[in-house]
Amino acid sequence: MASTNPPSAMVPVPATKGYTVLGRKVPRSVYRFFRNKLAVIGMTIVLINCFVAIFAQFIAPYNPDAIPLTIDAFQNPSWTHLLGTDELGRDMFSRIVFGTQISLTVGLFSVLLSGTVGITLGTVAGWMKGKVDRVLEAIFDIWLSLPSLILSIILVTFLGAGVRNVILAVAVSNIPSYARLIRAEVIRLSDKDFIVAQRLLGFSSWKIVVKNVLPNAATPIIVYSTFSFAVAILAEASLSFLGLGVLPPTPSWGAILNELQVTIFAHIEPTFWPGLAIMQLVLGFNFLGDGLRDAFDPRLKV
Amino acid sequence: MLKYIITRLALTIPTLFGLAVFDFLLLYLTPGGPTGVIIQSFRSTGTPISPVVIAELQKEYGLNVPAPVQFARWIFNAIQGNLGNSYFSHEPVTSLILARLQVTLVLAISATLIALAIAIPLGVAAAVRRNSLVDYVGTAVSLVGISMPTFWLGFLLIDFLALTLHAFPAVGYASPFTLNGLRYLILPALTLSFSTLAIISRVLRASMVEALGEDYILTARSKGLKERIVVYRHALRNALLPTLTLLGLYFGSNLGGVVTIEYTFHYLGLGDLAVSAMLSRDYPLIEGFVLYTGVVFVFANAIVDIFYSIIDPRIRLR
Amino acid sequence: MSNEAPILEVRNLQMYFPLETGLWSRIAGSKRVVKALDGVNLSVMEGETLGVVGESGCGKSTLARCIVRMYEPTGGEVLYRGKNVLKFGPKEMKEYRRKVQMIFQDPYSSLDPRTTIRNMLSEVLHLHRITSSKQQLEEKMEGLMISVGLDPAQLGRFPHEFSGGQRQRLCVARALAVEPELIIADESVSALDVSIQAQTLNLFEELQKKLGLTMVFISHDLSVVEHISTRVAVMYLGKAVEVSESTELFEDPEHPYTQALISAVPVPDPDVKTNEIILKGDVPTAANIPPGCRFHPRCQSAMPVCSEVEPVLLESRKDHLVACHLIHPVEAPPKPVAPQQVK
Ligand SMILES: Nc1ncnc2c1ncn2[C@@H]1O[C@H](COP(=O)(O)OP(=O)(O)O)[C@@H](O)[C@H]1O
Ligand SMILES: [Mg+2]
Repeated sequence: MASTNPPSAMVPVPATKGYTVLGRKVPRSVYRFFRNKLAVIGMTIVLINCFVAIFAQFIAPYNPDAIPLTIDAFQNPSWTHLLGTDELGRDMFSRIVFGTQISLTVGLFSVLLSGTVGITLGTVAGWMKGKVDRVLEAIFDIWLSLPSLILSIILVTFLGAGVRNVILAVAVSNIPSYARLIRAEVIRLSDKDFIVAQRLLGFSSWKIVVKNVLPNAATPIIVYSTFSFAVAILAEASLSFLGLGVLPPTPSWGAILNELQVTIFAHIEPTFWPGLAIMQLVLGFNFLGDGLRDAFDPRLKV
Repeated sequence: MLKYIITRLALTIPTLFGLAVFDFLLLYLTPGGPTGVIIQSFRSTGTPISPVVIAELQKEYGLNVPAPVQFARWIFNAIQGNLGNSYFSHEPVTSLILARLQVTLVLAISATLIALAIAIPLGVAAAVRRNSLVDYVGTAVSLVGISMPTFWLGFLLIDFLALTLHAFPAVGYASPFTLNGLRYLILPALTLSFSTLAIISRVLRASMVEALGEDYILTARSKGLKERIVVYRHALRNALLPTLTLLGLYFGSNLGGVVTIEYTFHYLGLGDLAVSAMLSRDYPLIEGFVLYTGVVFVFANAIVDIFYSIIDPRIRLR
Repeated sequence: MSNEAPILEVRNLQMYFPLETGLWSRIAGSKRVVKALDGVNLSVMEGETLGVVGESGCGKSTLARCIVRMYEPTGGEVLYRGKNVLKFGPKEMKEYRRKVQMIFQDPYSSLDPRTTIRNMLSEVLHLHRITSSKQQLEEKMEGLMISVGLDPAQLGRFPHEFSGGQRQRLCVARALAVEPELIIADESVSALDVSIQAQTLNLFEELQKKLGLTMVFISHDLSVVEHISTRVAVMYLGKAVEVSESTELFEDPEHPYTQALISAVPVPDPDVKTNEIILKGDVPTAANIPPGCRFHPRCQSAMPVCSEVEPVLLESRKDHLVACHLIHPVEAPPKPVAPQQVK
């Protein structure tokens, strides 16, 4: 077969135009991402929060749970207590620093869990089509018959409080939307000629899904996962605020607000800080998600 | 069209049935299952518990028959509106829930109206004067709005409007069907409206920008119509339809936000009832809450779908 | 040619798609279907290029997809070297996959954007154990690139780094990797620029001769089919209506539909007078096939019998099949007088 046939169409391929970020050559989408101010802000916020979570012990000036012997509750912000103290005199700044750990842990594990299950179910539905798809779709419909926050609330009520159950409850309520997204993506891709070609070449479904379908669905998966982080962090805060999720004295941002709620008439100011902490992190993930979507998959834009 | 509506409504039946099964099975998620739950609620009354008492209790609560039979009985009663009595107040769950559901619907509807009243002018102004200060403020409001925990916004509003300006009572409840009750309604409604407002104003801006670029708008302009008439009578009418449909979707998910907001404001709606039921493990009440919320949510979604299909008949082909 | 056994034979192939898949139709038991293929009979001889032409929507792609079992036909048989493909088990299917390959229309969607050409080819070669050593693999891949006229140095590139014509060549290389006997090309040059079209057609011809391939070449474009085919089948609304040796078909078409198609091909020389036959009526759809001869509502020479009796594909001359009552006259059956027909 190796003939010396004149390569009639051997046109030199034009070199891709150079896009650089910080002096390094990068693909166009990465360049687009870094050109987007909000995206970079979002990424920075998320990275800072990760840093704070990892090095919380070194950043927090006080033990977040230490209740001082002298009564110095509800102090205003000062150099000794950057964000003041709470109703038991604990250092608000230290509690918020440690709260980062909980928010990010819940975010990370619930996204991993709902992602794994959601991607699996969605892929099965979208790839198998027919009866399997119809049954799974009906199950997703039932799954989505409660607003997702309410489903999480009910699940923690029955499973019990604590970080592990919060992760579970938040993940479970996010699975069907994940699955729906992936299903649509798999159906879109399985109609493409390159997938049909793989089947005609004799590749097994398993191999095609793993090697061709999922890699091509990576962008929407990553974008959706980023937004899911934001949703999970808000959900954890809500559950803990209601006193059903992570319970005091664990310094989850939502739990801190739950404790402060009792005394808002006398001292509402301290509620500002944990709320701000939640908002900046959620905002960070939302900016990051928007940025990733616009840079890598403009098709997804509403 | 009628065929689609009937089909769409028929589709809610299996979904609601599934929801009922889920609701029924919830008790089995708890450590000890339904029996454990009952034992616990009796332990708090101080009654001594022996195996004989347990068997009696199981009989009394119909737990001595196989689960499918229990489910059949439960759903049969539920359809007739009998969801049992609250463990604590001993009142029928259905009447407790229906009274609170009214309050919550008033809250959700007020929030939606507030959201519209702010989002429409904001969205239109942002679309008409793109890249102006209004547009930037609108964008910032939406970005922040969707990232803010609603209950925290509640605290901010309490701080500013109630504790500082004394414009409204900070927290509390009076029947929203009275004049005095409206004062208590406004803060929670304002809080709840914010996330809807944030999204609706952005969507409206986008569809307005699109509508303003359409041919018929250019024609209207070239005919010398007043700009205000062009914007409000022609462009807005077309941009509003998809936006309003989206609103239905958020109305449904607002039911989730209601829970934390009612808790924040001690506002005696369904969400507040649910949270106290959950904190005190009042299972019949929780199950009733799940069922009612699910029914409202599923029908809200079905209505949204039907509206969509009226606006965009291609949807029906799916 | 007709004495040999065909490599591929399609017998009375039917592919009916349900028209409505919604819940309602399942409840109501609606049986409305789109008859994309409604009894196709064709055979392909070893080493030939069979062209398949017809207006878009007449079922050409569906035919291709049924042959490779992308769709499970609702009736009929597909015979490969005499064996019914539709009854193949997994093991026979894997062999069949190696023997029959397909080239698609859109060169932009037929290559995985996330896989380099090297990975794409080596996975295929690996799957069918076509090469046994690393060196052999590399040589084979280089050979494939050269045989489709591409530079082996570009093996490490991604599809987006190639032009449309080059991508179509890559698709050919991928199909050739499994060393197939039969290649089905579905509108494989239709998406390319005219100049690239000619180059690609030449490549197909060249490869077919050199490798002794059999080809089914599908196109809505008569000039493309004329260029490359040894035999041509004309399809109309899910059925083959005329099948003949290529030159004969273009010079002396028998079916009124074929005549109309050929007369509509623009002639390069403006001085040549053409008598384009304008087809009357709307193009019917596969969801609503007229009774009798499916072409009769648009046919200039339609006779009363044509709306009553469906013509059969029969030999009119040696190796020339046509389904038309003008060629094979039949008696009209006695008309049943239904009340509503009396006006
Ligand atoms: N998967 C499918 N489901 C339903 N109808 C189909 C499907 N594929 C093709 N059809 C219908 O079958 C007919 C033939 O289509 P096709 O084979 O693509 O024609 P061609 O390739 O000749 O243009 C068309 O009417 C088309 O709408
Ligand atoms: Mg086609």
